[in-house]
Amino acid sequence: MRFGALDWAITLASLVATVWVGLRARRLVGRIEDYLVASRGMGAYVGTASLVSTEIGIITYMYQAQFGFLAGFSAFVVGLITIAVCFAVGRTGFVITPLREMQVMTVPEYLERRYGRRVRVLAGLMMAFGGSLNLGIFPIIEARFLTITTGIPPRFVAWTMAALLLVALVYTALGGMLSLIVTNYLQYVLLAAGTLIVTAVCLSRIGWSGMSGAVLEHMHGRGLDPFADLGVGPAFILWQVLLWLAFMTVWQSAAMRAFSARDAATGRKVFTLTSVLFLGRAVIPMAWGIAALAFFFGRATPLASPVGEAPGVEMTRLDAELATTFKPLLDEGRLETLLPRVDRLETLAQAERSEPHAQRARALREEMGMVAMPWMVAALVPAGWMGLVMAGMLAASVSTYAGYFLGWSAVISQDVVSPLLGRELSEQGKLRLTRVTIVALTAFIMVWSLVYEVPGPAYFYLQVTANLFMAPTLLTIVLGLYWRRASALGAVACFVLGAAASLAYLVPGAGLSVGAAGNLSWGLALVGLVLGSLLRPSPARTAAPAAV
Amino acid sequence: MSWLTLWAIVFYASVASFALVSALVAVFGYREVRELFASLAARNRDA
Repeated sequence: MRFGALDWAITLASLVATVWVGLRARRLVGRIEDYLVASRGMGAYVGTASLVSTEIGIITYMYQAQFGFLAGFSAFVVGLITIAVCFAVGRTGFVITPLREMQVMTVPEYLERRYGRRVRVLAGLMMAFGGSLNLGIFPIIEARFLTITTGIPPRFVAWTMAALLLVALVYTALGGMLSLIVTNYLQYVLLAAGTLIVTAVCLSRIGWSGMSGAVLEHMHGRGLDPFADLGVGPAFILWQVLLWLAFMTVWQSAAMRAFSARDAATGRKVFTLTSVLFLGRAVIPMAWGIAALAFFFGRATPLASPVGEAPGVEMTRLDAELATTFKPLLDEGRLETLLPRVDRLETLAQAERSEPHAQRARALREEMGMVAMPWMVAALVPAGWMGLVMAGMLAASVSTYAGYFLGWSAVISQDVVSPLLGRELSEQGKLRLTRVTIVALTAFIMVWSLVYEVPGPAYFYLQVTANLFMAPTLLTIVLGLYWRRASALGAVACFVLGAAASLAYLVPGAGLSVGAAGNLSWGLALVGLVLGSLLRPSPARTAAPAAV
Repeated sequence: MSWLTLWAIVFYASVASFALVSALVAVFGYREVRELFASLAARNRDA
């Protein structure tokens, strides 16, 4: 399906409306509290819209669809863990309620109150570093979606992404959280509409029976039982629970929504409502990935086994053939041609016990998984409706950039630059500093997305860069709130060791798997915090009552 | 209950709840935005 004039008109109108609304909100910004936490006047429903639209971008839909394409229905288990953790945080107010009641504006601000300025600056640096690296690859991934669905030639996609970043930059830098809240509301309505349109198209054109048929027929016994497929066990569940717990409580863009709420009860309600939407955030795009699998296998011609050719010879021939044809066919969206070949290569590699061939087949399948959903959307969604879908997707994307710009720039300006200056800035000075930081962050992302090659699957990169600070931050906050002996030395050791384990994954040649790096990060961070606190407890702070 | 039945329930429940909560957010969120902006405008006028 061609992306027509009507689709372009709808898409551009939605962007213009977003900027217009965002700029109107700017007039109301008077103080840094208005700018960073919307004067703490956010209601539950608009807070939910703001949080969810920030945490859903095109990139979210891309990697979730890829996960569904690769793991089938087994991937849904992650959605169930997500809703359970988010709901529990919402009901109990774990971490978010004490932080909201302390009226902090950023997560490291609490760390200064509990451990001292040095820890705040260190945490701010880690967050700014990890958060910027994390955000830095969004444009590269999202550009692939735009190229496929709109037909924009690849050479112009970098400029398109730059324009999108500028849209987010303009209203976020000028209006801060106030602009974000009102634009996020509009963007949420658009992205929800786009999400439901794509889901309706998948159900009407492929249907549940088509999706389940594809999993049963083409996944060789995988795709249904997460315990067998994903190695789900206590370690996996613990890791996912910790990850989501950290995400809901100390991920700056999520925590800012709790800080912006009218009161602690509203903050908890935001997280409770969000838990329901986060189930859809995971399961719905995963189902699109499964629908894409069904769609392309439905169009594929089964591969005939050549008569008299030995399996080993066939495997080598297929591998050589794919080495030259895979990339051009993938760029044309000819997944129906590629799928049976990659499938056959994987089957032969398993039968011949050839690990290098099996690894290559898995890598090719992962690459197909990343683009299968956009190619299916481009093929199935009718003109006009496609404009609405694109408006929703761009809304999702711009709101994510805007939310992250504000989140990470707040940390850089409030927790790194401002404390290092050693003097209290005026309200206008803080506002200016945050705006300058947003502009600098945008420039960094533009450059980073152009020069950096993502090592391995993007999903792993995103997890590792987030884990770099999430494990130490959550641990220092939780133990800071609930353990009197936690000290500054322990907090510093926690951040250094937790980050080191995650960084080891990014170092070429270290040979650390993503799972090992993640678990090691949590383990070392905990050890550092406990040992450091036991070795040198801060007498003054130890004597102080816990902050709850 | 088979895995397939469980995943069908999870999928349809997630789509239905996504649609329902989104509708609530669209309706009540609009009112909340108006209230927030009205209160800020009033504060700025008084200041």
